[in-house]
Amino acid sequence: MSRETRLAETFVNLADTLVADFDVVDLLQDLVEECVALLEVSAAGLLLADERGGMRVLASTSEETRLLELFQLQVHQGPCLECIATGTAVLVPDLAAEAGRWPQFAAEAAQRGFASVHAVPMRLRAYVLGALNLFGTRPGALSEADVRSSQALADVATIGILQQRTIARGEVVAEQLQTALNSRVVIEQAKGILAATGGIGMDAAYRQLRGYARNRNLRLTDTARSVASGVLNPTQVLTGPWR
Amino acid sequence: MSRGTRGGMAQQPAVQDSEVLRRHVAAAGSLPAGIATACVELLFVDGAAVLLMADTERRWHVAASVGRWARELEEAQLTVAEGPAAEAYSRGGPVLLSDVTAQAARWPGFAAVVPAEVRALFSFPLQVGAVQFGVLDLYCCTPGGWDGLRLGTALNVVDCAAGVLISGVGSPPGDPLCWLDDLPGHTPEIDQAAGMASVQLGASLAVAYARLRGFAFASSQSLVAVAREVVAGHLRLVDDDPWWDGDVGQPPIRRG
Repeated sequence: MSRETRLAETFVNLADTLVADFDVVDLLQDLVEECVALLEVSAAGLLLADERGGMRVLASTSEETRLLELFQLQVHQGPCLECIATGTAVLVPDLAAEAGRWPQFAAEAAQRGFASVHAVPMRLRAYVLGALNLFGTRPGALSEADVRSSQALADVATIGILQQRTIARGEVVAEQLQTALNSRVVIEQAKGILAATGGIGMDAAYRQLRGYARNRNLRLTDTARSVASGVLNPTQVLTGPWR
Repeated sequence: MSRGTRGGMAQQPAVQDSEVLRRHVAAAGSLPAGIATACVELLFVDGAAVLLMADTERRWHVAASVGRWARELEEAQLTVAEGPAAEAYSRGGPVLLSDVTAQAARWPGFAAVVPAEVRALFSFPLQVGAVQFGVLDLYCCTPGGWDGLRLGTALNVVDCAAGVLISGVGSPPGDPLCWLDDLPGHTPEIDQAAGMASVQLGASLAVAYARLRGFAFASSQSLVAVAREVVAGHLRLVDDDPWWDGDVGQPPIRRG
């Protein structure tokens, strides 16, 4: 399948999800994974600004990526934060060459094996909700087509969070965002329960949880909530490889 | 979202918010009453109420109400069993109504009984992920939405309040307001560790949070540091920590 065909298919699938009763966190997880499959990058994450001046990682392709995103928040520097602050894409093909801009972040990224970072904003008119962040293990610029595709994927993420294409009230943005952030907490709790029950790592626990939900056509957050509140036995989720 | 663009710079207001909450909880001598009065001071609302779900009977009760219409508002919501509070609780996210009368079609029963003086209503679930305590309702007698700063303050107070409520579970040692320094729900490792600890202890998630907090206190570590040890598999809480019966000592741990 050509890259263009695959990209088109991704958008069709995402559009399908958006009209059905869908789970935001699940959609965003699909999206970061699609980024890695479609674009010349090896990891991806979604960073969201919340109303209280903080930022949260809502999806990432691995714990490693998530930790790097969190690191930016701790040191208050990095291309993703700059992208959110300015509302424009920040493309860094060679992080080592621009280490002077974000010395702590550049060092941490290099230590985790990343050499390039590209951040595209998730925005709705004047609002900047967050950024889609793409990490590469080798230095290199994104092609113009990839930059356009990643912005389109970031726009889908924005629509996904807002759940409505025509949105007027800022209140709805806040309601949806806070609900999504709490879903993320429920998922982390469920991951912990599955990890301890199965003696597995957090990435593996997350895969089991998503696989189980997908297999049964359940919403990821609902499944996580069932595990976290003790309604669903964790061993059931851990039985069988779902993907 | 305007506040979000400033990155971590807005840390200071959050600390001030938690100080106000600390002071009111101490003065009121009760968590729900302290939360409600702190909200009135911090957010310039006309009233506030805390609805809690009694765990055993799954029944709601009004744990605190401040302001002329607060109790009437909550009793009305409990009577018709619908409205913003119920929705905030079931959805796990806030319901923000800048104009209550504009929402009559959404909850006809609620619209029929809500005091006419309550013109704007903001309902926030008191929760940490899947651990749900209840709802905080804030109302104003004039319609109008909130800007990002005010909403951010409200969300801070709500998070602090949920942290304080979870610290009441099982009464671990230390200041019950110590959660204000290290909030659950903001650091994924803490939530993952709570999940793990709940399995290892055979306890509920709420108890697992309290046990992690208690362990951090007893061993003079930060909660995040303890959580990372648990997630890495280096630390496992066991069932017979002596402080659990109120006897503060060095908790036994199993390493490895």
